[in-house]
Amino acid sequence: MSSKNNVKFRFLFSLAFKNILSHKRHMVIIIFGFTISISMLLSVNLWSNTSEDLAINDFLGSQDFQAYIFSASQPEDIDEIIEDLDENVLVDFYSTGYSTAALFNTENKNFTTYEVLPESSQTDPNNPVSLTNAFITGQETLDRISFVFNVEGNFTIEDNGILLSFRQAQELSSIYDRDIQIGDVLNLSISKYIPNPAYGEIYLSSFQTTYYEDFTVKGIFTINEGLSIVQSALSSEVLSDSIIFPITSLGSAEATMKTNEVPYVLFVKFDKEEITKDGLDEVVNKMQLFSETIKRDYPTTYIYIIESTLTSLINAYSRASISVVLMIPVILVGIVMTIFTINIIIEYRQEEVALLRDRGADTFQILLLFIIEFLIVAFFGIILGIALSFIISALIPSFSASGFNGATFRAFMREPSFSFGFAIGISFTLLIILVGYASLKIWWEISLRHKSSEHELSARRKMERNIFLGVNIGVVTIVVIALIFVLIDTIRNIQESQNFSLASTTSAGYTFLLFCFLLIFVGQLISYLVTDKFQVSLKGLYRRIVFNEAFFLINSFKRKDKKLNSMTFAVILVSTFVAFSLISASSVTQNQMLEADYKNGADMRIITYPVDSSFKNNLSQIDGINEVVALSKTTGSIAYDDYTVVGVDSITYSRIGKWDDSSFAEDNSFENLKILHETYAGVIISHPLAERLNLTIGDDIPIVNLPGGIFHRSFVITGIFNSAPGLGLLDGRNIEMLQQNEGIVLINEEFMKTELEISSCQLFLASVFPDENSTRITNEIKGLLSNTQVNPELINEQFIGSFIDTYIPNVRVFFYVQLIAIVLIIIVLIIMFTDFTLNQRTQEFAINQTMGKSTRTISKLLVIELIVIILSASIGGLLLGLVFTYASFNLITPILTSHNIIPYTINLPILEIVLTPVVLTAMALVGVLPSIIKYGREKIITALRN
Amino acid sequence: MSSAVLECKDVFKQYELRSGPLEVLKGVTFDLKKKELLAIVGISGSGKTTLLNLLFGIDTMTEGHIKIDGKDISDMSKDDFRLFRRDKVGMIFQEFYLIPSMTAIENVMAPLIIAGKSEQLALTKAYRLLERVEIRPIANKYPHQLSNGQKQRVAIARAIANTPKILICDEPTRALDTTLGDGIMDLLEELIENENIAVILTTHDPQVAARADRVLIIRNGKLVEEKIVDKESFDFRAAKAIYRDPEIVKKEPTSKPKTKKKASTKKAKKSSKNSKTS
Repeated sequence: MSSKNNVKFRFLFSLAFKNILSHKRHMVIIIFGFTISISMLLSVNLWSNTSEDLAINDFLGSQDFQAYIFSASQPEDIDEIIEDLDENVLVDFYSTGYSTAALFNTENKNFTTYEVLPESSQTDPNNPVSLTNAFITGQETLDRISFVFNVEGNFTIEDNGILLSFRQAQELSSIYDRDIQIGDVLNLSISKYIPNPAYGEIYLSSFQTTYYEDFTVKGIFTINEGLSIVQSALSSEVLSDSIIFPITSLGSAEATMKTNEVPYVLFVKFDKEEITKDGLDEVVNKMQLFSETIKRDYPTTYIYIIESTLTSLINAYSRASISVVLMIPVILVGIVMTIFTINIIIEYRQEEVALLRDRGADTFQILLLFIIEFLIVAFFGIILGIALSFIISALIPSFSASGFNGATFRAFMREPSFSFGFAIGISFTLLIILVGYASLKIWWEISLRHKSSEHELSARRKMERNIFLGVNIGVVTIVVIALIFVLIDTIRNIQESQNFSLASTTSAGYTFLLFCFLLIFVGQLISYLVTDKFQVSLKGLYRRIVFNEAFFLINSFKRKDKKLNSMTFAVILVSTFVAFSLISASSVTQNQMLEADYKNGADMRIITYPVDSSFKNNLSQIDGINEVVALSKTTGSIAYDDYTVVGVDSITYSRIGKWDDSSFAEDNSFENLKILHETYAGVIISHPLAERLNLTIGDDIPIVNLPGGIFHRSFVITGIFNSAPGLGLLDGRNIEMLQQNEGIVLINEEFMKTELEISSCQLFLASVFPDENSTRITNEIKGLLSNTQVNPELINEQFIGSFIDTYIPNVRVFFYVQLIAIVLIIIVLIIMFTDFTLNQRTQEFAINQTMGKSTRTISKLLVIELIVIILSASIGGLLLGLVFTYASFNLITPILTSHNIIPYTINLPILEIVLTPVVLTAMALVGVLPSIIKYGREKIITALRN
Repeated sequence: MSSAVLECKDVFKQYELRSGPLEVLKGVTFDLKKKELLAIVGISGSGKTTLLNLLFGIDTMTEGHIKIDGKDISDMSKDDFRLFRRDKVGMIFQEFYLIPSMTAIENVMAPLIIAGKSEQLALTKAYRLLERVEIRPIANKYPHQLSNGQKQRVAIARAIANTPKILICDEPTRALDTTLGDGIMDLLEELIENENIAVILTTHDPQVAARADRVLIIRNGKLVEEKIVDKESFDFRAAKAIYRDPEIVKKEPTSKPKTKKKASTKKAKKSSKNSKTS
């Protein structure tokens, strides 16, 4: 019995292979459909997984320390922790450092009477002590964190070397009245205690200094804004005004420092192999466990690990992975194409089915034969799809604004994170959908064969139509209901948030998915119910073009054969998605440009070493520059949190800055800037701060710890902003620039200069006259001051945003990939449909020829028929696409961007939209011309007997 | 001047098959006179349909001459052929060959439109033609909704739409029962009488053949007998016996058969060319 079954299966398999070979053209199209659908789904998943892994690896590789531990009250705990770390396999390396103060020019001063605090009111202002921050550590530590520093000279503290920040070097130059240069030998005092002026600790003696002589300046540094642990522990602001001193030179002072609870920091580097060995998903968990263990064993310690940064990186990739929904149109079109091909194959093979039945095959046997064929074909499609997905997933991130990046492509090909479970899951699902559909269709056709009478057939056709309409209307209803529920959630998420979370992106993804489904079924209904009537309604036009022959053209559009309807549906669907992709790509481009302008702040964003704000006059002299505004900054505390206080000429800033309506919170406007200009002690605060403290315009807000001796000052709120151009982006979660707007307040420039005595600036914004050569202006600016950056890259390579940016492509790439795939599919579909309808109508053409119709007329009518179908369907599709895009665009914003700083607006690429029907028609004509020529050459007698 | 509207002389047709050349017509010669109903009888595979296809110009002969209305169709260009099919001859096929996506009336309108008539004129004439063939009530039905007899009538209406001189009918009664067949034959006779059409038809059916003016019997690609039918005393059995009897091939045929065998189509064409030159 079993050998009989074997023989039967062997026979079925050999027959299936024979059938596949004899219908190879259509089988290739089915393989193509499978390949496109599988590869699109898999490639986005593969890209998302691989890019996340690569980014985490890159990030861990770039960070020499991934945690710091600090204990203010019990510094001796750090020594015990070090003992624990020696036994912890997760820890690769650790290092310690002190954060204290350094004093210069202390010589010949009476330590007990000389008042040094506040710095601006020292006992001898003509011969002041220079007070700065001191970071005391070892050379090995410095070697690991050198990437944080931009150094002139050598980054070494060996051989009694010290390193000075650029700002400190300038201050010393001013105090010593000579240029402080590399190689200079200096004396300094290191503070063994951090005095508190509030307790009257304002004298030199309060610092309990140790005097060190003959230390050589080995290098002068500035800080690269970045994301290192050192910056997390000491802050960029502290490091910018500091010196670095060798821990080995401290000597006995170290013990006193510990006793005096001078901040003693332990930097920890994890062992990359050990922390990643259980998979990158476990990295964050392991770091958190490490942190919790330290906290449990040493409750007074503070531990910071970069786990939160990693989490934001992982979140960013999770959000990006949702962009797979942008590929849904291609996947759906791929599935539709496969279904249409299955329909055509089954119609082609109706005779074969009849023959099999006549020979005694039952329904199951016929079904089995077809299923085996589809399974074999699907198998090849899946294999090709998987192979292609590796290439597409590597290509997606490899195309950036600067072109193709071979290194990224190779990295993706070398270390793909392929998810077998996902691949098997989606292949299996697709297989069930398509093979299930094919089985149902074949079963239907077989059962139709029993219905021989015209009445029965007609009833069956009516039933088919009713089922089709019923299913479509049912699905549309269900999708609309689902959409209503999802929409409520999505709209709330988008309106309430300006930095999109994983949840809002997911909800936007569902919305888009439902919109796509809605489109498929509405498109199907339109093509089924409307288009042939529309095409027939163009009678008058046809008569003008082909005169009498319009009779045949109209007849073609009226024909019962629904294949032309299927082609119409395919073109409508494709045109809709083409419209969506074109509009989305164009809108994303425009919005990204707007955002880039906003991030830059003005036509030009000039970043320098600290210079006096009067430098803006030098900048204004440059030909082509219209206006310049200087932005000086300091820090202050509001409600126990540190804020960046920016002093600005708000009227000029209002003219130069790329402000947007969304820059201001509700009921606020440019008027805020005008009022600030007129209010000496005015302040504009961020919306989150206003919300947190429940403050509004006109309220007073105290800012403490301001420099210049002002420890407490009350300001009047003159405005509330969402974001100020050039100063960073909303809400402080902007990982791209890491500038926290919720941490920024704007104050009057005059107040900044007069009360806080700050007139140095590092940031200038300038407006440029139209049509001026920006390269020339940039060069002239750089000529004025060395080490100046004009419109620097918006993403600092040291920030986490850069790790995200490396592998997350511009969202436009998805639209372009989609456009290419969709156009390929439609060309294949049009050729297949035309070939099929031509083949079915060969005899009809021959009959017409027997009546004296010329081949040329037949060809002409075919071309016109095709043009009418493609043009009408593509115009209809584009209109539907416009509705679809306008309806869904704002709802899918979280998929397109991570934030909603400047609300996304739609940009209509009119030329591309207008050209689409023309291009589609031209491509279709070129594609089907060989078929038309082939049929035109067929002999009448042969065609009649077809 | 001959009164024949169609002259067929020494017509050969050979197909090149994988298994070798197959001669289907071997020197067929006959003519068709005005208002004549000529029946060609023969068993399946005897070459009847091939002969009609050649006469209708949808297949090409290997050798010989066919003149219709005094014009040799072998001299015709592709476009002449098209106009010839459109204006001079109408053909009714065994399989009807109605356009399935068109209604009965549209099928009849089609040749009129192709001939350049306006849609309105074509519609009026098509209705008249359907009335003529007595199927006006089914004008708006599609072919799949019609009986074989109705289909045949639509095919006839379509074939005579452009008032051809010759109507070529390939087994017009084959798919019909005797009553329907008789009805079709009545219609053809009426057309000959009223429209001055000459009809050439093929048939298996002696009763149909008996209604012809002349019967040509074809066997193995040769015309083996020509009978003037005495409609009053035609012996159906004898007629049947004649074209079924293999011995008849050995008897002297009415038309002179070509004895020279063609080696190939090329050679046949060449000799045909030579004979034209000489």
